[in-house]
Amino acid sequence: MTQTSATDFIEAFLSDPEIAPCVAHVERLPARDAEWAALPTDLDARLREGLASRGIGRLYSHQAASYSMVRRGEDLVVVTPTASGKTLCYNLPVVQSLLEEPSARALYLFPTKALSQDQQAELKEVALGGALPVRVYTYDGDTPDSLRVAARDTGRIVISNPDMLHSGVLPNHAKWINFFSNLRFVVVDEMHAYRGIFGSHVANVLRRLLRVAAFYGSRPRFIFCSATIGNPGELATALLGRLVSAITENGAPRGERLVVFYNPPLLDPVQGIRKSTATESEKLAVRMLRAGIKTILFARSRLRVELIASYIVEALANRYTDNGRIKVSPYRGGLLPSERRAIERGLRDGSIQGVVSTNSLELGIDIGGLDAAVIAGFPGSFASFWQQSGRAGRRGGLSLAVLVASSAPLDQYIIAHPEYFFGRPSEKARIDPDNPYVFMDHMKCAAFELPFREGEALAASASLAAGEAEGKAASESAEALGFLEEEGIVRRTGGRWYWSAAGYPSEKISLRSATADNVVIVDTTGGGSRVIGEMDRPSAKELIFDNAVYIHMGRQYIVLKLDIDNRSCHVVEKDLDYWTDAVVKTDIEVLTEDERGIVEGTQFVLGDVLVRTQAEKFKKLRFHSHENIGYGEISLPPEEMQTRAIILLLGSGSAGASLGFDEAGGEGADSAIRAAVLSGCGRLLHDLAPAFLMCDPRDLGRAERVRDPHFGVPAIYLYDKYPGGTGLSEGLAKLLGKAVAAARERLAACSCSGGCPSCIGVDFADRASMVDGSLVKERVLALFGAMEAAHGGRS
Amino acid sequence: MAGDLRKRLERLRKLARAEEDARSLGLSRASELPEPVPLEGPAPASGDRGLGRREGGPEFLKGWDKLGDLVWSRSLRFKDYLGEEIDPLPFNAIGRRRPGQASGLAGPVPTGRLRFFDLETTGLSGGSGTVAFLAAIGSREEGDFVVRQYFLEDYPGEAGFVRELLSALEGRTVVTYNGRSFDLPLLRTRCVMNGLIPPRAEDIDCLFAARRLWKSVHGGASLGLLEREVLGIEREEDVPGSMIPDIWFSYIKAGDSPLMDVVMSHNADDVVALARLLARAALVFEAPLSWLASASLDRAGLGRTLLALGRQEEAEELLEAALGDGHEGAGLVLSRHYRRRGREADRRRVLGMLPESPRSWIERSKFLEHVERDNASALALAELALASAWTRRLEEALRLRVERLRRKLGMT
Ligand SMILES: [Zn+2]
Repeated sequence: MTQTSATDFIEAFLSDPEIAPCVAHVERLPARDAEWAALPTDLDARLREGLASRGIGRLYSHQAASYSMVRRGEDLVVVTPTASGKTLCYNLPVVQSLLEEPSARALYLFPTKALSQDQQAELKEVALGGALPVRVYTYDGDTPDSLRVAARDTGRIVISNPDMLHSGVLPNHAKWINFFSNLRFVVVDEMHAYRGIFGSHVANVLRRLLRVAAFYGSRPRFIFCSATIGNPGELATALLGRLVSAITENGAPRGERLVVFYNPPLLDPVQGIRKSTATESEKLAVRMLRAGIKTILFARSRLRVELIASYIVEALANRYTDNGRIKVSPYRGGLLPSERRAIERGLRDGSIQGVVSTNSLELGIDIGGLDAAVIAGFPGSFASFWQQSGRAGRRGGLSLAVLVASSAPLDQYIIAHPEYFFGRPSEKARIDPDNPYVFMDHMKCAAFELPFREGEALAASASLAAGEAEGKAASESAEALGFLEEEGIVRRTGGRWYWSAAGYPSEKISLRSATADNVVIVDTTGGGSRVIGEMDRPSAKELIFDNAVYIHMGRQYIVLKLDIDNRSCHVVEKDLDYWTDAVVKTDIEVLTEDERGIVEGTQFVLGDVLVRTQAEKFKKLRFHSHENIGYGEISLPPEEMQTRAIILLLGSGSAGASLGFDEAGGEGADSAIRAAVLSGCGRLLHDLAPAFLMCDPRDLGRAERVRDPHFGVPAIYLYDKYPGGTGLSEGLAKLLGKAVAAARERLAACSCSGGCPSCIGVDFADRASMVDGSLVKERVLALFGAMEAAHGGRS
Repeated sequence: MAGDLRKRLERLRKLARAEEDARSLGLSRASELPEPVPLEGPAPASGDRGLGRREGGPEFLKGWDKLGDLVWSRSLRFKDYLGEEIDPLPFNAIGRRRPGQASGLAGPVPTGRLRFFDLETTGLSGGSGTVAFLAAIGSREEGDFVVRQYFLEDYPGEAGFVRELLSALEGRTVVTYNGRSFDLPLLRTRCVMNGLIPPRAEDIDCLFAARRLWKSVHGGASLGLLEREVLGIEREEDVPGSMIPDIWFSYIKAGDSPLMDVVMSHNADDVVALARLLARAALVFEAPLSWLASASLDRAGLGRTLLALGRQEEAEELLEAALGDGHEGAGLVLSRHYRRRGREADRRRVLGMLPESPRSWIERSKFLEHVERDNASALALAELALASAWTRRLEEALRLRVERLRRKLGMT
């Protein structure tokens, strides 16, 4: 698309009478010129030539800064937005050092396998396609045995991912003796992906890596690369456990970019019903594709990706009977690698014009430049939003990103506060390397890898002074080892702790989810048996239960049998006019009360809870209209986990007391209203919390109890969806004030009369039609108001 | 961060203890799996550990000599079945080899130089946390087959234990069963973990030859199975391999383990069986044609091995005999062999004898296309094969073949 046609299209687009009324905000981000620096003077002539052959005679300022910091021997993190030449930030200093020291090795870690394959191609170019004496190997689950040996023995740069490092490399470190003995650099790309539970695990994997490297006498330096987040230095420091300095200035040029907030039209202001995000996003994408604009559409779940892609293909098929001119593909996790590769290729070579993706394309997979990004619903974090919108934009051109708000409270809150969106540095990524489950998991792995000496720690925390930190870390490790000894899996003898169990601990520990075991989805259409995907066990129980509709590559399948014991799910292809949605029941048991406090006039408790979830039945929802056309039963055993929760107690002596939320239970309508008020309050807090915590709303669970069996008063539970927690409950305790203010503001601004999907929901209307929605809304508002007032009175 | 890790760990630990207590009162949660059944009575609490350990070691160490701190050894004598020398070539012509490893042994090896080697370990999947605690090294000594065993009594003795093994194997030819994948890498890992230099001994791994000779006939190639089926030996008492790690663990934790003596004889029996199996296989390779009419070994597998060794005539005779009895694999090997030699007439004859199957359709399709230049028939067979392709890769290859043939025939 040429510059003028893009400008023309965008102008026409924004002034279109069908679109203009829905545009809530347009932000014009101006183009920026490059800041240049000369090539380093000590750069090897061969590297210099290699760069020249790619037309590179100078560097961006951040590339040059990285080079000199790495060469000085510092650990660093460099912030590199999409398309800012980040690979040279680490490839240049690393390859230069490897050329100077012929035995030196480097490890590159990418969060996914797909990324490491891209990286190898890129590196071949830097390493002059094999002309330099720097052998590069990818070492992951797909690497054949024959190449594994070569990678271990002769790989100067080994490209892998944290999962492989965790379960393949570290447990077998003795086979990597040459590699570890000479390990000089570890590159951690896409660092922002390492947050939440994954980041908490990866921090511990890096602790183990450092421990093993030290066994072989090496102390590698670290280079992290990250998308724009609020705390790159802090996250890198938390991941590595030692101080990492950050390069946040970026010298790459940027084209002009337009960010548009689009709020789908309100169909019924009183009930707060908006046109669906999916169909509105589809409409916008189709409009762009028809104008010849290469477009990427991001949706929040696999299911949505499939739905929207099929809607788009349908819409286009009507207009183009030759249907070969515009090709649109879904792209999401669960596709086979070959299917993914084909789509990436199509986007690069232009044979595919549009793609509908989950955030799996958010990470730096090379798909070439696109003109526009449509983001169907706020992706849960500002960093994700910027990564996704950065998918559109080529150097020197004008690009467009459209956020299509959903009716969720978070989206509606954000779309009404652009200043907050554009003014604020991106939010902070959180990890909790000290999640006791995660820590115990990695203590097992570490004990397997090398016996612990008496007084030895897995790692010291970077936030404390050296002497103090060591003592603390040693006592934590000793506590964990004592625990493992009681469990009979380590043995303490002769001044050491030895792994003493038959298993291979990392095999059972997944870095990405609560459980390591995946369910394999098998297509048995026509008596065949073909694996078409996989899914983790807890998700499988909620998504691919018997009779569920599973959508894969635009095709519909119906689940014949989910066999949890054998981790398999048999499906057959079937044309249906509906999809399925499980209704999940949650039970909570309080295990410990670790901390009590008062925030916003409300008593809260932080502690461990046991959460039991069970999918009991499912709804059938018709395509397009999304209307409910029936129910079915699900009979699967419940999932259980222990995690961290923040519990708000609204009993006497709290803000709740003023609203009759005392310990006396009411009858009939009264108690139904109380339940509705509590659930509306919990829902708003839950849905708005991710604006302040860098997490996805799906990372938090919630539950409300009108008369809590443990505390005896009304209670709202917000809990971390990962066993042991990832710091979200603790983070929320500090941010509760902000969340309450945002919740009150959102509710006050809502146009509905008695609750809607954009505020407190309408669930209560199902349960007891006698509940008056406007009364509920009024009371929730009053409750938030009382909380804020109590806060005001206190401060 | 989320509070004090040490306190959280303490709490988890308390919780685990409380659950343990609840379990013992029969209050376990319905959704919890039952505990695995212990091999023997409950292990004593950690404070009591070692009380069960007797002066001079437990019962099963009677007859063992203490070599050093926590390392024991004994020797057992068996009847010797080995000849004076052995040709390692047939064993090393096939199978896995690490790069940088000695590239095969030239010429016959005196059997006195062989060391039959087997480890018992704390796990079957390897990794640096898997330890070998028992080793058997068999060798010919003055007309007997002597098995010397080494036992590691607890972790801190490991360096001494490994040193004993290294000096017993030093400069010898190590014979193993699956040792290239398991025992030898594990020994190397144990050396690295203890700061010792890994051995660089020549070796023979019998697994690969055994697979070729007997796997298809006996439906497996585990040493235990072949010991029974090929050598006709029934062990009196044995333990399944999967139980072995726990037997050692209950010894180090509880001070005794009633099944340990069985593990020890299992270990010794393994190297005896290994030596006898090697002798048996060597006999086969010495006079392969005496098995021409036999159904008790895989003539196609033997033929393939001989082909790899360049013993072409014997190989062809064995493969032809197997094909004559309807062995498809033999026919496919022969077809490829004749193609390489340019013996198209023999190839045509062999293909005519192949049973109908997807594999034979593919081979015949290639022959029709490239030798007979009959693209139409080649296409028909390729399409037939495509319809029953059993892997995605094969499917892809066949699709390309079909497309090419169609193009040649002007069909697209
Ligand atoms: Zn509303």
